[in-house]
Amino acid sequence: MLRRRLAAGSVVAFAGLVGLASGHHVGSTKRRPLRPGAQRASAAPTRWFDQQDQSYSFSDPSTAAAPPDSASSQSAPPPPPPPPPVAQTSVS
Amino acid sequence: MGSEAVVVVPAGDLTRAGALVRALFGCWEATLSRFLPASELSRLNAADGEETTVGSLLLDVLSAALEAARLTRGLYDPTLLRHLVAAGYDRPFDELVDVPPAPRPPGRGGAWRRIVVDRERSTVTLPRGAGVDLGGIAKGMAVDAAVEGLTTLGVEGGIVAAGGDLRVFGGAPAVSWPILVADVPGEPVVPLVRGALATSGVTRRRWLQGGRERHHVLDPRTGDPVAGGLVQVTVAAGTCRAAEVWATAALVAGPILGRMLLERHGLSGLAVDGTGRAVPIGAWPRAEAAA
Repeated sequence: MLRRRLAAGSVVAFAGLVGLASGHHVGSTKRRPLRPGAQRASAAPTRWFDQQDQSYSFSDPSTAAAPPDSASSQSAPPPPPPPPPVAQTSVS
Repeated sequence: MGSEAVVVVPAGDLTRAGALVRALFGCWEATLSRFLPASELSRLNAADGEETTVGSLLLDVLSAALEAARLTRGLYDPTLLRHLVAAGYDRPFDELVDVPPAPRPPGRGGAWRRIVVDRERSTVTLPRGAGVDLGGIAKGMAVDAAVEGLTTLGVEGGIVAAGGDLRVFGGAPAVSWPILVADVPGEPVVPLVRGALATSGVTRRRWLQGGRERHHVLDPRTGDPVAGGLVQVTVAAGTCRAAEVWATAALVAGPILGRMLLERHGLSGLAVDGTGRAVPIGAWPRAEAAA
């Protein structure tokens, strides 16, 4: 239980740091019942799993981690440190 | 849905984004929670084989769950509610204590094949004796709906996360979000540019039943808790809906079949076995996966 609380807390803390670094803020919300907005059911069959579900991408970590060459490292300022990671809040 | 939601958005959008996500999750929980006696889902589960008129939200989420069950050939099964309740998971997880043993329901999973959905009349008929639990897929679809809502609202980009499901949206195409994957030795961080991550695992939601440890992921092929060699699977997909379903299906399938399933569907993931070894699948960043 304590571990779960710490994990959730670290998520908020990490996300807050990201917000400070890049102009983003973090909000956290717990479940609160409200009345649903209306969605109209379609009579036609719906496909729920399609090409969109494969539409994800990672950046290339080797590119991101490449050191600058010696010429540019003398003239250019050092790159800003990467933002802290955002943690998954839990496990399903 | 028993989860805390986290939203990361530009500072100027925080108030309206928070209000939208809070309202959306509240609405989905009020409709789809199996723990709320007045929810539409509870009403459907209590109908005991009678045709029931349902709202569009339940109709949509149930339809997606049934399609997921078909796509995964039943490895994801939303109709194991009776087995889950018999295993003691009959109330919100935070309220679970050492529950007494109960007789296991007869049979395995698969009741989803006999559910009748009439989208034209907005009715659902469950097989007599069957119950539906939409917890995982509903949470994933709620995150997807929140992202759609924030995009419609004009929010430039950010992250929505809830209970193991996380989706990034908007932002510059080349900018990645470093995401710390939960509960993996070595604390791998993956640079997610677009799409979603979902993690399904058996190590967190555990409780005692008659002194015996239980967890909440059941194998539809047996009706018993999963014991196929994996303790956690994280999947990357375009939507949380897909990531959630395939993470559960791969966890149930085990290390070999689970890997095949993800690769066949063009998905990537990180599978963790009982020894803590993390195995990357598909295009999952190798350098970040080392334990």
